[in-house]
Amino acid sequence: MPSLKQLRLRIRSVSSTKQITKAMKMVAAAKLRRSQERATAARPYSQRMGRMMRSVATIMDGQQGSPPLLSGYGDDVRRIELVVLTADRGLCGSFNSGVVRAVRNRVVELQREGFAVTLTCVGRKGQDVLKRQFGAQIRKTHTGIAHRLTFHTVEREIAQELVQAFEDRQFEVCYLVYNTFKSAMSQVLTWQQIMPLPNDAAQKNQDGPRGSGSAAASAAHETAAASEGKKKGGGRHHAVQSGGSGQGWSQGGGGEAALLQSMNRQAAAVEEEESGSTSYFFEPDEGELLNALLPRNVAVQLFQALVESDASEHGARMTAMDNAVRNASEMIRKLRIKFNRTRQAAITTELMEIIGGAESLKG
Amino acid sequence: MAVSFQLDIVTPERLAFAEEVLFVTVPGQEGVFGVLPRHAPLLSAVKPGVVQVGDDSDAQFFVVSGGYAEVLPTRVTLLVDDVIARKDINKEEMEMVRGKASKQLAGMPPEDAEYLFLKNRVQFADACLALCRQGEAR
Repeated sequence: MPSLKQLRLRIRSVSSTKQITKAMKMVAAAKLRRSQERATAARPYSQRMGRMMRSVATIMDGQQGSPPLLSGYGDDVRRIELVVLTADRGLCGSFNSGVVRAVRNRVVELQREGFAVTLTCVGRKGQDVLKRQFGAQIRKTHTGIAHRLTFHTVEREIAQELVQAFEDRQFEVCYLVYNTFKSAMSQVLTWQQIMPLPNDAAQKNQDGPRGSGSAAASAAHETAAASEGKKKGGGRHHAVQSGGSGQGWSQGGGGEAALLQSMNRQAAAVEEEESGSTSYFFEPDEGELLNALLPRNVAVQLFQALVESDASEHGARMTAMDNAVRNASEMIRKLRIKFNRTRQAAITTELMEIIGGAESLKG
Repeated sequence: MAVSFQLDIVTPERLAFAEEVLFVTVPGQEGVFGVLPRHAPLLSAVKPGVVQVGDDSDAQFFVVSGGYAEVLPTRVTLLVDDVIARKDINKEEMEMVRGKASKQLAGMPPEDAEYLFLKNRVQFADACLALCRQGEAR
């Protein structure tokens, strides 16, 4: 049985922890608002960039000598690069661990299938954990990017190096792994291929017959306007449920994956209508334009992923801290009951002693 | 039906302008071009310069830095690194930006990764200042 003094100390310590978590929650909320605005503001650019990319790509598709960034290195894929976006700081629930766990499972899986996997870590937390198991495979680490998250810094510090490495053929395919921001409460783990440019035309054709028929398609047209703000780079994201099933987050991810897919389908429907078969004039000519656009598109997609991930981080931290505050309150409540009970027990014992003493004197 | 088209000016950081307009001029890499509704589809690189929105009488002016323009019959999208409206241009600030960028640029080999970016900045600032002077002359 802890003494009264010990209990009082426990209560005080839990209270101050609660104060700290509460403060962290407020800070996260304030930061979240800003990051969320930025993520939302950045979406139009990356969406339109994606759309423009696809129109050019469709025209260039199948032509001789199209650059590897567009058409890849053929079927000869042996090396895969994963760009892992995590936070620099912890205390944000399963935000970092979710990404890391997914990456770890995937890397093991890919290696079993005979691929060589290299990693680029953006964010300190991911690197901290991954270097234990895959130290030798980490090609590059970028930290502190969140403090200077502008398009220019992202392009110069990360994207250019990645594109260079791709063109030097250090790897044949490159994926981004990050959390897409949905709301403060939920982040969707997303796998997105950025190099070479994912071939949507082929995917679209597969989607058609397999999808839920024309009824769904026409319904999609109606809701398309509403989802305009939500659609993410039109059909280029794949939320994948990976590796170990039965884990809380991956179950949630599955439902959200379906949602994302349906959103992507809607987006694809709109695009087909808008720019499906337009033939453009190019200025300068398409080859030159394409060569400038392709690396830029990588930077744009990366930037978008980073702002999404940044907003997700603050959302996750806010939620985690909110839970911590609630747990602390609950703990304080329990301790206080125990404290009161112990105090009352002490008083009762004392009273009994006094009464007993008085009785014996009377005797 | 009023003949107009949707003009969007977008930067990686924000959607700067989105309205129905009747006319716009764009500083394309191979010369300034004007766009009226129902223009043929065109993809063009954009260099730093002035974008004029609307006809002479009630025109709005923007300065854009480099980027790309997608022209469709009912929609024009400018994807640019940076954009500033004429009324938001601060002359002293722009001169400072220009001075700083051109100082950094001096003596830098053209193959430096920063070279193009800085050159772009200088041209952007130049376009802003030119637009200011033009405004004052009127």
